Amino acid sequence: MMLSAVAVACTKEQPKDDEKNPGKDTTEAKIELTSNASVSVPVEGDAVTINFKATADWTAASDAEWLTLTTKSGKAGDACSVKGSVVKNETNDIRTAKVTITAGKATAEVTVTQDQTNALNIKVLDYEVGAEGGTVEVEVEANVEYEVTIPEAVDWVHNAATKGLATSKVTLTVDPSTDLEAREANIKIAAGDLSSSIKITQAAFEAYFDFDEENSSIQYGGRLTIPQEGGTFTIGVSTNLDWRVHYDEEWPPEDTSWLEFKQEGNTIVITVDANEGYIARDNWIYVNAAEDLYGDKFGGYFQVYQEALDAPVTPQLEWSVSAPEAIAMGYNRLAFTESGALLVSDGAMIHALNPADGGYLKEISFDGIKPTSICNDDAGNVIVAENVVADINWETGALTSGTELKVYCTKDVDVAPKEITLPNGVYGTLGGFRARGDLATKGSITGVAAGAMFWFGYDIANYEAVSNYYGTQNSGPATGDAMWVPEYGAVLSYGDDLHDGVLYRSYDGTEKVYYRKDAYTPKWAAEQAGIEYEAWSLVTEAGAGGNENQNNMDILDYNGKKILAFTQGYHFTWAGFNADIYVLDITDIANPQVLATVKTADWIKSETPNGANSADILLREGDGFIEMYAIHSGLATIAKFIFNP
Amino acid sequence: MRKILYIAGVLSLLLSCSGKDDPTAYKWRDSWVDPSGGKESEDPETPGEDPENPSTPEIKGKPRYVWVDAAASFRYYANDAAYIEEDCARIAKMGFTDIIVDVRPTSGDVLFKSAVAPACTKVAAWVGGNYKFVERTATFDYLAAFIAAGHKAGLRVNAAINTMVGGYHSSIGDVGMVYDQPDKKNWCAVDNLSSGLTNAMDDSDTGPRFLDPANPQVQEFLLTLLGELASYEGLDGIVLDRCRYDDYGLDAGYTDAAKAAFTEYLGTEPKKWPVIDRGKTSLSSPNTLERNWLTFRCKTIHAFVKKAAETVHSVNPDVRFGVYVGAWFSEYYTSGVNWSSEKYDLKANESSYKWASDAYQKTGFADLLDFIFLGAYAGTDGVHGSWEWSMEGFAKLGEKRLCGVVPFAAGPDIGNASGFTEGHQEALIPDIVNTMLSSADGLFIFDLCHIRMYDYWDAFESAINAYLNTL
Repeated sequence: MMLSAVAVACTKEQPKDDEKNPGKDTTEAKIELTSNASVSVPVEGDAVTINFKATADWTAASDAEWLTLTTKSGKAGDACSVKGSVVKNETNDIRTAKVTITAGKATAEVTVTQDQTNALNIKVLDYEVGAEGGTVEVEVEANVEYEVTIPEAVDWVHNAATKGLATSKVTLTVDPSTDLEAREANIKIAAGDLSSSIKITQAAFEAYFDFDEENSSIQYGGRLTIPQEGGTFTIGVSTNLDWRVHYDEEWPPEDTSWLEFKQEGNTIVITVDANEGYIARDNWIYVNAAEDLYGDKFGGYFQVYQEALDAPVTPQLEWSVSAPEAIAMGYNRLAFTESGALLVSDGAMIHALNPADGGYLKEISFDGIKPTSICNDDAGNVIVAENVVADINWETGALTSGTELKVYCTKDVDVAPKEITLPNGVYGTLGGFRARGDLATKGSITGVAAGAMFWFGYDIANYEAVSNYYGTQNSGPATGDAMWVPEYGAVLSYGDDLHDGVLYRSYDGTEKVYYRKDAYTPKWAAEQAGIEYEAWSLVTEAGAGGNENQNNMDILDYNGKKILAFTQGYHFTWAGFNADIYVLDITDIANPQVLATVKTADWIKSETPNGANSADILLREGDGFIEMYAIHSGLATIAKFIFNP
Repeated sequence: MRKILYIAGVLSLLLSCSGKDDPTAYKWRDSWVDPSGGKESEDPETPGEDPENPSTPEIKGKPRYVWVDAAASFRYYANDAAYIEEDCARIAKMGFTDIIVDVRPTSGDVLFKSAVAPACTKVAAWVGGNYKFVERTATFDYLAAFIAAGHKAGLRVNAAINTMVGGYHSSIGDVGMVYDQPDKKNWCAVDNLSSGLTNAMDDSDTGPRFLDPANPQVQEFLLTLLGELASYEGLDGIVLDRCRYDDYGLDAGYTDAAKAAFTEYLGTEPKKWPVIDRGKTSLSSPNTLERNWLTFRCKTIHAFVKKAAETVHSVNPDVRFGVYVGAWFSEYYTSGVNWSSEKYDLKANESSYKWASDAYQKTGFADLLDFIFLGAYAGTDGVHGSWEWSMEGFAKLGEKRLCGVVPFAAGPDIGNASGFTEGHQEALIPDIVNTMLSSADGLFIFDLCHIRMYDYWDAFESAINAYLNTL
């Protein structure tokens, strides 16, 4: 800052000499400045020269130590000069000095002003602000004008005035944060070459969204179990976010008529009608909080599962055992021998169990045959088969492997089985073999071609595929989803001939039981022939959703009825570890009737899943009742039920 | 100096765009957006078409642009100015109004007079089923030949440059400035590859060697180049191609220059460098640092485009300036480009794009341009539609995203997109022409080489004639 001090050359008012001292030189001495009466010197210091005219000899003096005069006197003349030097100004203030020139009685004064050393001092450099935002006041001590610079990316800190003077406060406002991480801003305060940065650290926004304690276990994929009679249920929500509750918007549930939900403040209110059927039902509900900021990070999803009326028949649990250690829990399948043993396969071996109590009897090995699938036909033949991988040359469309399937058939596991060779024309991994009828005379074999979205089927006569088989290229009801492995689906002939129709159930996006009468005509063939394609018809939704990896089923012709049973398998950990069993009378396939449901808790021994994901069911005729054997691999349980439909 | 009429944009755009469009702020306004296809108006000082000086050909209807890729047609034009004249006549006969001549192939060498860039003497191209270098031994001025031939045929001639490139690494050899001048290595892109942060010169993959958009020296060089181009006598327009980050998308941009500039942008060193984990092709929920990085890259491109427009117009205000971009806006952020208008309310209209922050919106560069070209590169089964990956959808969404601030031409890649690669799509061309001319301000076709390869000359002539007959 420059001070505008004014130096004045002056003479004092005095009586005239000639009036007091006649005879002497009475000429009045004069000083006339020929350079400026005020001189500015930079902070670093400089030489100073003051020029003047004097009519008498003169002297000069400085009143400041920092201004040293090197010429302090001189003779009268028109080109007099005082020379001096100024040292660096180490202070933070502007300073001034006065040089007084005296000639006779005349004096003249020159003011020398020197700039200060600039200072910009900020004592507190770090500031912390809560997520809610606020203000930061920065005390700035400065003797110069300074500027506040907020980086371009820091759009959450604001400063109304970006310039300050002297000692002052810079007030910065900090926006509330929605950032889940703490954030920092370095704000530069600068004056010329001087600068300093302060750091503002804003705490992370601690977003939360939690179901109330009672429902906390269902927030991420759990099950809200609703009794058959329905009612109104609430889930409290604790959150500091905006949120909404909704169905899956891309794949909304097919039937939402029985369930309503709404958001009331921080509560989800769910109203469910009574379930007057024998089949439990469910829909999935999704909750999203501040999804515009956090996507699906906060919220939840849960299954509303409503129990059904008790079915007319209650299967009686004969026994339930934990799977013997000798049996590996993995891909497990069931069959029954003519000699009266319950067989359990585990992919590598077959194990015989006592059907009276589930006790372990012995291990059975078929030389050279890997028992990936075992099952029975209706005549009691034990069917053993290995999965077949059929590769395809995509350019030619021809299979490069897996052109034949081998199925082995025997009633006595101690006797070498009969080999049935089936020609194959479809790519994928073929397995999940099931049989109906009597393969020795007339029957059918069905299975799943995983990866190709197809099922396959063969009519069998005298242990051979009939020449007009046509079942190897038929798609299921949900063609958009491939089964990853054959055991994720089950396809079963309704009778002993594929012309009787086919039942289909798989992990393919539907997880329901479907039926198609004209199993012999694939959709593509119908389209090619220009005939109307007969679509799959829904048999039952029982067991749909949430538990679908393993879906084996069995049919028994019993007293003129066709009885269908199928299991639920194991699907991750959604909705618990479902091992429900359903039994239906499908004699009239257009009007199937639920006969029985067996709940998981009614027969499962273990509550700890072991990671295996397989299940199977076997129906056979007992003495005046139906025997039903079931295995759930993930919960390592084998059981026997009896019931009379 | 011509003054061009501007007809107000579609009212519905006002719903998606904030702020008022000031058409007078844009020097170049074709009659594109005039649904009547009116002619350009002339100011009294430059009345009408001078038959002796066909440098300002008039057009009827909306403009029709065809791109002339340098490499693809090099074997025809590199050494034969007569071929250029012959083709310009054929292009005009088809009914196109404009050609966009590629004068800086991906090698970065140039096909116009330049004091700063090397002349292009060879390009790698497929010829007769063989990939080989096509040499240029002729000394005639490639661009000037196009300008003369184009104007003679009644075409407007626009020059396109591959912008952020400086060389080409191919299986048969390397070519381009960055290979000839090893000291330019620090101009090159640095990408986050499996080998770590890798300079483009050390990348073994074949393809263009991209330059670093954040490098001030790169920008200065390119601006000089554009100034040279703008000074070309008779040139009607300049179009930037590949004015973006390296083909590695989200893995691109990690030079020291970028880090320094990004640090200044943040006010602090980035806590993570590279900012984005390698190999990501999209960011559905970017964190704050990632959002800032995405915005910074677009801001860098925006700043360059702004300087480029100013440079071109300072040299020659009569030269139109524009950019070619892919119309797939939903993915284009991965290339560091926001071609929408800064008036476009991104957050309101594209709420699912979590990278589209308020700051990102400000990086939209459409407002800086005189014209823009949207590559609507859908396949043959995607002429119609409302969303991306249909030609019509690309155009409609482009119109919305551009907010009427700049005329745009849109159209397909008729050689490389799905269904086009085997040719035989003559029957589709009338639908393409009509669809594009009804949903965009102009038709844009990539590339002339495909018209030649699949013999679409008659198909385009017939389709464009049919369009003109409707006017």
